[in-house]
Amino acid sequence: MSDVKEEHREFKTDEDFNQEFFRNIERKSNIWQCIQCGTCTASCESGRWTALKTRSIIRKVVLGDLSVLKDPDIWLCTTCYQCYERCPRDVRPTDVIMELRNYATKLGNISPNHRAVVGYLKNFGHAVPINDEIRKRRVELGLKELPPTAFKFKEEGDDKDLKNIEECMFDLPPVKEDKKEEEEA
Amino acid sequence: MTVKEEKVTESNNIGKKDKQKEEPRIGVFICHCGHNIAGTVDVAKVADYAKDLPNVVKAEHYMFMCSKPGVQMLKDSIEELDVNRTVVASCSKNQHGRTFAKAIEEMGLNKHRHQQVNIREFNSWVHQKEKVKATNKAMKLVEAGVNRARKLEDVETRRVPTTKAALVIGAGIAGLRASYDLAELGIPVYLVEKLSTIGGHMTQLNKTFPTLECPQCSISPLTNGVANHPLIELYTNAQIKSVEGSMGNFEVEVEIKPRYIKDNCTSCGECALHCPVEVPSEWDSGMSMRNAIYKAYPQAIPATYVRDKKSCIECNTCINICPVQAIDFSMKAETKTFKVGSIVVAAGYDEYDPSEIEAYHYGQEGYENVITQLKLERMLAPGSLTNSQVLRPSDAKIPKSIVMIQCVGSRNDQVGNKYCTGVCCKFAIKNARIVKEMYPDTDVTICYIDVRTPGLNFEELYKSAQEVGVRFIRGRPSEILRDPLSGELSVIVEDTLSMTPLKLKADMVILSAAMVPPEGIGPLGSKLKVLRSKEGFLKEFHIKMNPTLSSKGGIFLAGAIQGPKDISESVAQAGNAAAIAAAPLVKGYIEKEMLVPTVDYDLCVRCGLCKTVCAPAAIEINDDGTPMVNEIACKSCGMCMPVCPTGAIQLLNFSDDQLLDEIIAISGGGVVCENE
Amino acid sequence: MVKEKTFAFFLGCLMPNRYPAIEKSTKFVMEKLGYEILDMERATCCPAPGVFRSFNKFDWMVAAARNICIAEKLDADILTVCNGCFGTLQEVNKHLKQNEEHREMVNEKLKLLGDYEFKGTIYLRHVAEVLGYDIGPWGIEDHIVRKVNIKAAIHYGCHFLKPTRIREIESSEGPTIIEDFIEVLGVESVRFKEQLTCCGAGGGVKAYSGDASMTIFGEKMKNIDEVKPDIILDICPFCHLQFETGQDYLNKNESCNYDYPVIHISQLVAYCMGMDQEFIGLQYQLMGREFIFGGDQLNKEEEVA
Repeated sequence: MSDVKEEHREFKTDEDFNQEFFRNIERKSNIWQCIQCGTCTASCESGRWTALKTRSIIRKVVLGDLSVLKDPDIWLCTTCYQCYERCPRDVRPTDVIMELRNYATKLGNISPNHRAVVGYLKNFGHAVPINDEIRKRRVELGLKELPPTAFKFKEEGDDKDLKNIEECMFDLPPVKEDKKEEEEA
Repeated sequence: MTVKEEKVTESNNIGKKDKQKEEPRIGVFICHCGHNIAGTVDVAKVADYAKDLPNVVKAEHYMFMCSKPGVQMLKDSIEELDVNRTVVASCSKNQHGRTFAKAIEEMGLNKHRHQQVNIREFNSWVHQKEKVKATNKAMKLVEAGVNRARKLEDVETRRVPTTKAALVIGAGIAGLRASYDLAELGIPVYLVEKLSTIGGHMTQLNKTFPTLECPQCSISPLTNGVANHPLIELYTNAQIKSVEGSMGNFEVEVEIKPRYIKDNCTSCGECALHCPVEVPSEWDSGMSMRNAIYKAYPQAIPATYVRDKKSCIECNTCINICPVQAIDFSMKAETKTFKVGSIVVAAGYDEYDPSEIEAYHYGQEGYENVITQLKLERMLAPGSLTNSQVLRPSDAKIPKSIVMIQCVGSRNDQVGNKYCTGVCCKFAIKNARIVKEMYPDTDVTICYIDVRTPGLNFEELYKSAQEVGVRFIRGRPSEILRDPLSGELSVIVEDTLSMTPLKLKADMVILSAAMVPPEGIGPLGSKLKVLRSKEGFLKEFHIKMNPTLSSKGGIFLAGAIQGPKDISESVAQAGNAAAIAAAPLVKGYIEKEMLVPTVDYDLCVRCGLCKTVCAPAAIEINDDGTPMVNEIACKSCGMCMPVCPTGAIQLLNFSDDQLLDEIIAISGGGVVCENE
Repeated sequence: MVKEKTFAFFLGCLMPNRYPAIEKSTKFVMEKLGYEILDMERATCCPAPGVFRSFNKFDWMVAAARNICIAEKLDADILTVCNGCFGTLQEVNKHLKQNEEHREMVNEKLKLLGDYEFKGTIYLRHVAEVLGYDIGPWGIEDHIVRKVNIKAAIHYGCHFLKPTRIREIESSEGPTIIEDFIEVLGVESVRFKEQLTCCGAGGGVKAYSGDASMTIFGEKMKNIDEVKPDIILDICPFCHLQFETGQDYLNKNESCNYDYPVIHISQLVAYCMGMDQEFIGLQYQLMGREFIFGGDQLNKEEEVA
């Protein structure tokens, strides 16, 4: 609602949508039966404060609007599952959003913070690695300095677990060129 | 039309095979049907082919077999050539099968000796571009028809006299309408109602849509008409105990629970006035209390009071106070047996209990202001506990904001029911408009997924509600929140049309709950031996052509018991149910073709599988394990045949070898066709 | 056949690497209750459902299956104290038991990670349901030496109960398992507005947008603040982290003044079962450092086991 005259905009046509793209998304979901009743958005804790509107995301998938894969809002879902519990058509929106994120990741639409988390897993075996302060604290509490996880074994020279994980798992596409420029700018 | 009045023989067509000693003489007639068949199929070639088939004494083709000269050809062949079985290859059995069957019957043959072969819908119309293949197919189909005709047997038509009386189960609007219509046709009616009063849910309503009439006023002529009709016997507090028999002749046992008050009750009400016991009133949907001795509501029919034995503490105050000594605690339950020809089931519905939908917290402590539409009707109705005011149950104050939630227990794949009740949008809009007009300063909001108000007058009702200021929000609320400190309720919903999540303050929340099958329909249905739909209602015979006939002959359905519907639809259905229920009773007899199964007891292994698949429950098992077929109830569906492991049970004119003869001809003689 | 009264203790990331006091408390509680607690050597991140499942669902299943295999080799059910780990491991465990096609695909890839093969022989248990159902309020009564007298705002979190059809523990709209259990410890649950909402950390949101995460959390803190509990009780180290760092953030950025001690259920139960307050670890946490549990010593005639 502004004073500025709206730019001339064309209608969208069938060419702008690709319904078949999402045909096999999350096979257990009943996404094609969505009636847009809005129970999901109403249940969404994140959506109240952020731009995430769950119902609209599902609408985009059903219409085949591929821009949803670039939509940053799909990353604002906290996977609380409240929409999943209440949807009258059993669309399982949480699972659909997770799968959209998988698609988006494959396209390289993954945030730098998230990339870093993948890096931690490959290096330390943990999304949240230990630090010196905590190592001291563990000893003070009477625990072993390092928990017996893969990281401890790496410290002791046996890092085959993490090496295997690094090689075979969570391959991410390279950082996009324009993104690199953005970061350097 | 003359009917062969075969004497009713006790035999089940067993051992009729000796009748087939006569030589089959088959007449085959191929129809051109103008260009419809002849344009694709070489009919002359087919007739030529048929001529050489065994037992065929005549094979001809003609332009229009259904025309007078065409039919005459059939008749002539019977007269001149002693043809005793006919085959006409033309259109479908439904279209003209009867025409030809009637024709041969006029010549003295049993009409089941005609075999109709469809070479139009099944052949020429669907293979228009492949004339050679179509002709070959026609030849195979005709040969199959000839094979069938060869072994056709006579089927007798039995005339069974009917009992001229009807039983109506349920005295709600549908039951009342059906009873009255039946009685007006001169049929004595036994009307059985499980509650102590008649009128059903309609009497509980405040106003009916779309005209906003008073339902008590609308129904009153009918309830009084039924109560006073000389041909209607009304039994309240009564339930069905058992049902025996089949269409035209049922024997029904009804158990009538004791009222504990005799018929000389003047309905003065002194007993209730002095009764110390108070319990929630079921009829008032729990919105008020009643006594242990009570009349459900002031205009209740019968006007006789009734005693609720469970709640009664037997202080005997009522007995002492009754001015006409009408109260008698020693009354006992009575069982009555009725002999009727037709049964109409009008058992109605129940309102869905929303406690199952936990997010709405119905019935939980702290959520007393969350009620259902039926409870709202009870508040608004004249003479209600709140004096027709809308008051919050928690503190009896007038709500400043009311939110109605649609589709509670309907249209839900996770909880409740999957179907759309189809009535809730109408009654919610009706109530919203009434409430808003009563309290213009109160916010009234309806949260919906879709607004479904089809039919004349209903778009008008919807618009009138909008005009008066009812707010419509397109969004299904996800939950009803309660502030633990203040006790205030809020409804969380997304206004999808403007993409805005909302938290609506709600002094009162009204849930539009679904219509579900009534309690007790399970046992009642099994006593009647009728089928239920997957949603639990009673299943109609055909959704389009026979919505008031159940799966069992002689038992008819009227009203919401067949599926959620409103009063107008229930009344219309009840009228139809009454008409078709009355037909055999007014005629005085039922004519049934005895196209029924026979049992070869040497082959029968007494497994009982035939009984389990018989939908109209026409097969019973004898003490020795063999099946007994109720030939009147049998619907000739043939399901008993494929389940029989030994082929002991065979349907007349549809036996295994008869069908095999047909299949062999179609498949090209002994070779099973491979699927392409 | 899994060993009775034995658990393979799955540590996850946040508990051993940020809140080791919870690890200590859990070991204390379970061992006192007569369970044998086994180390799961070479375990990694579960992996965290919010982040890793979002990136690649299949690899997430493989990594989870690997952790489960470690426990299968120990012949013991897995015990976890974290909703996130429970969410990942319980769901993957159940799914791979039922879906043969996915199980085969996962086992194929597991071979690349070492000598691992998912067999589907164990179950996943969360400490809240072990305490709440297996032990229960009557069971724990015999083992506690102190009863406190405090009010707690209970935070169930999301992945303990939801999705209900997969977890099959209790209704997510009106759970009472924790309230019922802690009552016997002397803890009164205070209901607050919109109690069952998410803390805002999960689903990868805390890493993706700390801002969004804090906004969601801020609302929850406001509701908790209204009822002024003595402590905030959680059953998940990630929620624990969110409540801790969140209050700190809101104090610094939104001029709030919160100081509610954040206690994991293991810490609370350990205290009531006799563990000294210094091992509860409040001195290491950001909030409620001054809080004293207090409570009454119970006179027990028999020796506590």
